[in-house]
Amino acid sequence: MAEELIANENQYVVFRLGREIYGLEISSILEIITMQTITVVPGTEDIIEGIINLRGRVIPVFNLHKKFNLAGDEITRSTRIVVVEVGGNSIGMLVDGVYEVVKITDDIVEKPSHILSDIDKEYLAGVAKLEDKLVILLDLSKVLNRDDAVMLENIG
Amino acid sequence: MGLNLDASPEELKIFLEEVEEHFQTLEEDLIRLEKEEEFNEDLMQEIFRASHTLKGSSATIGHHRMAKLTHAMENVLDKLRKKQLSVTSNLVDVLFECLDCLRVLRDEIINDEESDLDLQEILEKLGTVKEPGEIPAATTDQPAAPGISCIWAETDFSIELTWEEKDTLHNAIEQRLHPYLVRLTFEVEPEMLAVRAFVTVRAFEELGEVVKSNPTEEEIEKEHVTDTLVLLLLTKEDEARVKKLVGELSNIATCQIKLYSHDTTKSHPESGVQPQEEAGPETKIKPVGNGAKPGEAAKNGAAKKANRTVRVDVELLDSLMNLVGELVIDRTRLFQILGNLEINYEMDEVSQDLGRTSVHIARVTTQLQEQIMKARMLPVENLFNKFPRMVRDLSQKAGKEIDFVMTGQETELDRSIIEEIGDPLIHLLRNAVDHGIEPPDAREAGGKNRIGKLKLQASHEENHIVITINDDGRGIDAETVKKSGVKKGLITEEQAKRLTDKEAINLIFLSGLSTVANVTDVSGRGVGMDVVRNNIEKINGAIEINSVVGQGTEFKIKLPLTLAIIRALLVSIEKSVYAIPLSTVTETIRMQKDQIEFVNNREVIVVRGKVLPLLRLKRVFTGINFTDEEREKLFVVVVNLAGQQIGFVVDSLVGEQEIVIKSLGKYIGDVQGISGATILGDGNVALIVDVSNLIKKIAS
Repeated sequence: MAEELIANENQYVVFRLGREIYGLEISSILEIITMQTITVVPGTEDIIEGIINLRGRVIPVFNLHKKFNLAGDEITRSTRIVVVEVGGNSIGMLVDGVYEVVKITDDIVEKPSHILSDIDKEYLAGVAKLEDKLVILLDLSKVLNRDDAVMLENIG
Repeated sequence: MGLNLDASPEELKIFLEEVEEHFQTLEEDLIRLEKEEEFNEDLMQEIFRASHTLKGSSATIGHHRMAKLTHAMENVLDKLRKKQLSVTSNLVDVLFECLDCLRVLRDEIINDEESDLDLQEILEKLGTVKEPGEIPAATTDQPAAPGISCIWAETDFSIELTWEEKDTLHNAIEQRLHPYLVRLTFEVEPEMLAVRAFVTVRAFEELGEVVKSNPTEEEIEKEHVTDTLVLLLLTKEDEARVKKLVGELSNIATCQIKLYSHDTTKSHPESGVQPQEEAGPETKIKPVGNGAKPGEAAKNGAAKKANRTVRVDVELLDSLMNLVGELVIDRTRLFQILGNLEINYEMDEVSQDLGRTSVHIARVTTQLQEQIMKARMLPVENLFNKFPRMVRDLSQKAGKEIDFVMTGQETELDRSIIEEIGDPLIHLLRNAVDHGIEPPDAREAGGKNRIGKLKLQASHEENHIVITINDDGRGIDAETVKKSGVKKGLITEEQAKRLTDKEAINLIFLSGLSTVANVTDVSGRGVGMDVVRNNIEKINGAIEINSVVGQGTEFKIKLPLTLAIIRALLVSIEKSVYAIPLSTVTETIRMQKDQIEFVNNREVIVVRGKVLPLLRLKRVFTGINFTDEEREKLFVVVVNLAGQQIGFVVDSLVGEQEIVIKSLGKYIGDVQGISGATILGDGNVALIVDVSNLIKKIAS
């Protein structure tokens, strides 16, 4: 344990998306909420599931399954909305279930590779090898990057 | 670049406020001054006082350029006050120009950055109006007689000196040098002025030292010159020698020479203020004598007000408004919960208790909402104030005589709406002056009063504010608009025939019609009218035109009291709830499927003899075609914007409710047909229908 503290260590929220386990740095996450009624906004892209009411604020919800072309996006009891902050905006992301918060040190993180994940390498920050599982670390700013935002704005 | 003012931020804040007040007074009074035929002494005094206070306080904070300009302005006003000058529109123009310059100088303080405003020109202008009538004309228009005559000047022209320069001057006088103040005007092509001025200054330097020139040498090098050059020469030579030199120079139109004395700059009666103001950087700390009084009085006034009011950041008000918005949502939600509860436990004491509390909370919330909305309100006066000046300038430029009347300035509007409505109003007023009201001769020929009437009116009507702009000009000819519309391909000849006059006039809001250059030939209205309408509709307002050819035009703008909360009709489409701003809804109709008729392959219904195009919101928003599951009964919401009516077919009506408008956020951005979102009583999000967008869509 003592060694881990010395190494560069970050806490990650680990969640499931399709068949794989993903991780997001905890500092980027505002909160995790249960499934809400999502209002579909007509004329927006597929990857925008819709908008929800987050304590009086209207925030968009992204469908990561569609973004990454993953199979199986059924809403289940374990479906959660992970609310993150990107560029000053709060954005929700649909995930299939949230497990735990783990500490991951830099030395167990490997460079992303195609073999490890179904999704495009550019969205990945790395892959962490934990004792019992592999956690794919997402690069949030790339996942919800400004290009997308610009593109979405242009839909109208 | 900072200004290095000699005042704390707090003092500056007070100063800026005070200054704004004085600007306003000056502007209003100058317009009155010009209008009133008889000399109004009280008014004149008020103008003088305002300018005097401005001078005092700008010198106090150490804004020298401002002090300099107000000083020059005050000299002119003083002459006006003493009837040494008469009020002409030319003079008022110059004074207005001063005011514009002062505003630029004021902005310097706000931005803490010196602007590139050159005071020389305006000071020059003030200088030339200094003497009644003939003299300024004489100095510039006098033909250059051979062997130019030098006048030993009796007229009052001077040059501002800095402290050091005065020092030099003082020493020089002790050494028995003569300080001559020379004022020359050139008769030469404008592009040669700088060269001429340069050569002249050099020539004078042969006689002695040119302590100061106006324009300065740097200005001359940068070619910031007028046809007048004032310079202060220190020389051993006598007057005759100086005159001789002038005679040797070419291109001089007039020349005035006098001995410089300190009195030249002290010629106005408030000399008590003078030393402090002229002292410049050294002694600007405390106002002394007369100069202090107006400033102090104003500060006392501000202090008195401060006891009753608290200054609040706009952002705080905005966030309060947001919080109240939340409460409004919860209020609605509370009643829904109560409703559910009462179904199950009607007689239960707890649910009854909840009922009472809910009612009370609802009442408090409503009051809170009203109060906060009120706190955000500003009288439209703040906006209207700049219009008289604008109309005056415009009408003068267009050579028209216009009587501009404003009423209802005390009507209050949400500050964000006031911000949005300014440009459209300016546009409409400008149009009315430029194109609506005819030139005086044409009016007379048409049997009207030479002076056109332009009215700007604000009033409260139910839950709206109505602003009308009314002119008695030539009006809009529906036929001409139609023709232009057909010519521009916006409507077909067929369509043109079917349009009513009112519908035809509304065509001026179409962008194609308004951007054409020769629109003035059509109706006189139209440049950017589409922008006007867009701006107004953006804030959930509506605009309507009534026009009678030859009698005039009226624009009626209906605005909501606030931007954040509106009343809306909730409708359901495919199990989702959509909100339609109630301000656009004229009626709702229940009809049978077989009442639908087809025109041009488009669905329409006939309502009281009028054909109403239909738009299936379900198809617009979900893409589901209506033929899939056709119901026998249809609900139609009739909406009206700027005279255009269409019917929205919806699945059912849900109810009417106050909604809080929320934006969809940057990530979603603009969506066709949706203007925003709102949160319903059950916590779900509903989308707000963008009526103007949909009407445009069906029109195209």
